[in-house]
Amino acid sequence: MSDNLQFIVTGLATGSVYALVGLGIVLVHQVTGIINFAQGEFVMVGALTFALLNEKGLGLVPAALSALAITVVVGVLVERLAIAPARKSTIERLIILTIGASIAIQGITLVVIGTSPHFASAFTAGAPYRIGGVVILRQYLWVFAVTALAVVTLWYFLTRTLTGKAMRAAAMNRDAARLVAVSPSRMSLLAFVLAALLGAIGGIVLAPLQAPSAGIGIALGLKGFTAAVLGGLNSPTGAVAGGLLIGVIESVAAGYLPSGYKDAIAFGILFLVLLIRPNGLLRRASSVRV
Amino acid sequence: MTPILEVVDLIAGYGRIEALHGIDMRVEQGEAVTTIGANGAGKTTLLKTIAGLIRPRRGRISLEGENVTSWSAERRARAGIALVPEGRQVFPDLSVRDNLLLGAYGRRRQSGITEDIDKVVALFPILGERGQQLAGTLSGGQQQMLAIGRALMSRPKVLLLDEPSLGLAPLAVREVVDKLVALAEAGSTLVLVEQNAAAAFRVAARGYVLDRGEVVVEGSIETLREDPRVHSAYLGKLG
Repeated sequence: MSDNLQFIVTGLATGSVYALVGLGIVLVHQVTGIINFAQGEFVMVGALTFALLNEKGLGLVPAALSALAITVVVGVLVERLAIAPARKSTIERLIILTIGASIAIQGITLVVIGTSPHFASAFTAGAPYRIGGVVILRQYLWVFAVTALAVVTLWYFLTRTLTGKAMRAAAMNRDAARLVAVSPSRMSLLAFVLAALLGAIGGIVLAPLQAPSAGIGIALGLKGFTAAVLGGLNSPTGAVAGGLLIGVIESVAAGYLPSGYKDAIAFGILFLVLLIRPNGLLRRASSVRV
Repeated sequence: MTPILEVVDLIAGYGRIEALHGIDMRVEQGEAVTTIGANGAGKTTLLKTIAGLIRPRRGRISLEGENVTSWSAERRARAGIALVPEGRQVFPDLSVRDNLLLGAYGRRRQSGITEDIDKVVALFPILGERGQQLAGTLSGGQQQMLAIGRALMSRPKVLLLDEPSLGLAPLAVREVVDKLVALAEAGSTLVLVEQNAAAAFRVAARGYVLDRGEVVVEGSIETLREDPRVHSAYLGKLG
């Protein structure tokens, strides 16, 4: 029993990162209609920058702020260089462009930083907590707290600020938004900035748990996509729930199956969901549409 | 005097189809003008082109003498052109109050917004009662009032209305038209596009009749009323 509890706790921690990735995908999808397959690369860039600077002796806060800043620059470049110039073409083409951007980001990272993983130290040093037979790493608590804070901040932004409401308005009706002077193009850029921030936050909290390398983006992006699809692609709460669920299932299954199956489990879920419930597990979660 | 809105030789359309073949139109400060015409006459295209949602192929659109033809819809909205679009197009998943707040999104200074919401609510009391309700749950007539209120929140120099009576119950049509009459009497500059000529004539003092992308008659409402073409096409069926 305590084995299972342990798997669940571990799964919730990685699941939190999937949740952040899924949230970024939902946000961009709602505002632009695009599924951004470069979302996982935002996590990679954030994690790797953070780990690299941390290795070089930079403190937690400056390393994290630098990682956020660099990832936002990458997000802006993806939107302005790949998406905005092709804005008038079909959604399918724009989605392919995000795959291209993802490959480009990974390639550039490989050239600049190389293939080797980098190590970040945990936010707070110290022995893990033990409750019953369950080991809780201190970093897990950071993951939970930071994820919760990011989710609440995003919710506040989207439902309580004029810019957030304008962003949702542009997602609901592009032309009507333009008629009240809301620029859908600026909102698309803002969506990518927020998605990059969410990705980088996920990467920064993840880095001390799994040493990041240039190749981690694809799997993270696809798992985040699975989380978003589980939630129906238009529901931020659905994406968060989906991310946590995938993290837990993956972790529990990996406890009983050979560890090589870990990724196959998430993609098996994606396959099944797309096949059976393409609108998500909860048909229309009562949630904020972004 | 420089007109608030001037349209000169406007040609516009969708893809290869040309919907407007050279429209001229002038709207003076404080004037209520109507454009009537059958389905497919180009009324919606005309308003969308003035608002900047469609790029014209030729012609000029001026706001207070300034050429705005190359401006984006967002910039025109900030400059004072407000369009109440066909089919209302309120933001369904936002509250009534948030829809009104977004109407003021393009205003440079965000001061005076509470007062303007109060003014809109005074004109349409139902929007005050339903302030926290999601706009998508309002009835058609209420959504139309919200769309007009949202447009008013930008303090427009000219208010364009695309068939506000379309799809509304007769009682709701009367209510919306009454409010437009009140706005016109208060000195708002209006351009009202309608298929329902009887409703349009109650609001406007002057009008244009559009047929297949061209202005076929123009003049005061009395002139339009007496024009046999207008009478048979748009008023005859109303007895």
